Amino acid sequence: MLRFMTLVKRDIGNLLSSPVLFLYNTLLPILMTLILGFLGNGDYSGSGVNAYDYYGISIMVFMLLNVSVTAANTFMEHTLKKANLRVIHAPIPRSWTYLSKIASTSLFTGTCFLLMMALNAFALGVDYGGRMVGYVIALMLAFNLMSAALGVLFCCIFKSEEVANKILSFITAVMAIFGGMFFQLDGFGPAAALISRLSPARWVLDGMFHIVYDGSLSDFLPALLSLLGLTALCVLGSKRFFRTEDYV
Amino acid sequence: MSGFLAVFKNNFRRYRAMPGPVVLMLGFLAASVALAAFFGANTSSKGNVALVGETDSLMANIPGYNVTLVNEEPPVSDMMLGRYDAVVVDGGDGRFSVRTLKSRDLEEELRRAIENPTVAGKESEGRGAGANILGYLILVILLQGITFTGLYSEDRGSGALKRVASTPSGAGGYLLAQGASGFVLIFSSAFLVICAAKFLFRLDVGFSLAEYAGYLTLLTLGSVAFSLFVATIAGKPDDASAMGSSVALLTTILAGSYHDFSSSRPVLDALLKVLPQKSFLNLVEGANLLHTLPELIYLLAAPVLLIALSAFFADRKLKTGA
Repeated sequence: MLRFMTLVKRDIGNLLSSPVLFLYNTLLPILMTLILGFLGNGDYSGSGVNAYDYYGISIMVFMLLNVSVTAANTFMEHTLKKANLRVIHAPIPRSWTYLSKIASTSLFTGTCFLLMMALNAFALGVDYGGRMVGYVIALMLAFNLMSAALGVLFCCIFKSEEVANKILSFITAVMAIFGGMFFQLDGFGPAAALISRLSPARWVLDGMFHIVYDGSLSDFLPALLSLLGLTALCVLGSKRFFRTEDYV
Repeated sequence: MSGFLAVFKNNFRRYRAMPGPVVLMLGFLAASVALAAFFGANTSSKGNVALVGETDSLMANIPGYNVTLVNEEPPVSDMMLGRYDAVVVDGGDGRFSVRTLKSRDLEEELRRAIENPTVAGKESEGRGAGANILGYLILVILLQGITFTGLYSEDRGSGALKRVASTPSGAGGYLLAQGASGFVLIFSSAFLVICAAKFLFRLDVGFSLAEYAGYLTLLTLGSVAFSLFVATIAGKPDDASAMGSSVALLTTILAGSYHDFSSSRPVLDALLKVLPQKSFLNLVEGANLLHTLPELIYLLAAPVLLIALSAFFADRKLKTGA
């Protein structure tokens, strides 16, 4: 376990040393929440709920999708790729190579998001559920993990970080728009509502809103279990597609 | 010229060598365009109201709103998520209460519409199908631009750019070639899907094919110019991609492609006017080409400026060895 943590510590160090990645996971969500919340406030009356509340949650879910991009970066960014070869030849299980990337990315981004939630709650008054905030955090962390696993999986499949990055950025943005992160899509009719239900981001968004605004946990367990299930699938997929010869 | 052609042709050879990702990306582009066409063809922009009451309620038909009859008050999250803009509870005998999270204006409008059903309701025409579709497409095509100019960032890293830039055609010729190959791929895929939507699936896509060709050209041009610029400024490919997609996303949303951020702050409105996306939206929503001529000029000038800047910076970076 100690050896695994050594890998994880090194990976986190790499993440911290890349300014763009760091800013991407901290500054960007804060900026987006501020700007969109500020502009969107024209739509809401002051009845206790405002645009910041909506975007406080939806931007977070959107950035959680982007964790996959960060994960892909930790794994195969070309300056890091060769280092994986040394890890592969160390006397540890081969799977630790990609498992440590999933773990380090989740730890790093998980912490970023917890900080962001705290900031949003205290500075912008975003409602994260009060006493039920634990459930919201649980969903957030589960989705975080799943995104990281997805990013690593795509890297294993496409064998190149640039390609995985591009595909993930694109999928993320499209899933976000058609999943209703930035503006509510349900009003566009049943067909639109159905399509947006296909994305896990939507389940998390719905789940969180139900917990915070209805006090209802009916979505929580199904969403949590589905996310964990998808994570397991991604890890299994990584195992299947990961080949040591790709690092030579 | 020969440098331009060489890079242009070579790009396609490189794309052929990695068919997997290219097909996938083009597939996503096609799927997004199809989704946009599908979503956009439905242009109803009426508000959605949940009515709690009996089927013979007097308020079952409120002009200008889609009314859904429900048995009990829907949870607050439905309003947050946008399923309903407001909830009306029919108290019987013409009494009713309106609950909404949105602005007071909506509440007022709804009340008026209910109390005077003969008055024409919120008959905001909304955008036409074509404008809707193109609005969705702005982001899609911007992101695709970033993807397909990735070869450029790669060449930066591998030193191939230095070699090509030292030839007589220079960095400018190289950049044009990168832009052109990206343009061809993006434009042809998007256009083909629109054609398919129109002829195979008989969707109402709003504009004629010629108009689509024109609008898509403008859009793709802008996208390619923007991504070349971002790729020139940023060093590594991932930085370019992360930065480029974030900026594209944020500016497109702000420009109001999806949701009109009608704010009462003139300073902000003025700032937003700078965004080319806003000009594009004005262009496609405008009925008359002559009226929107300034937008058209801006949309042609901005990409040219961006490409020129990219060439300038690329040259400078090469000389200083960045």
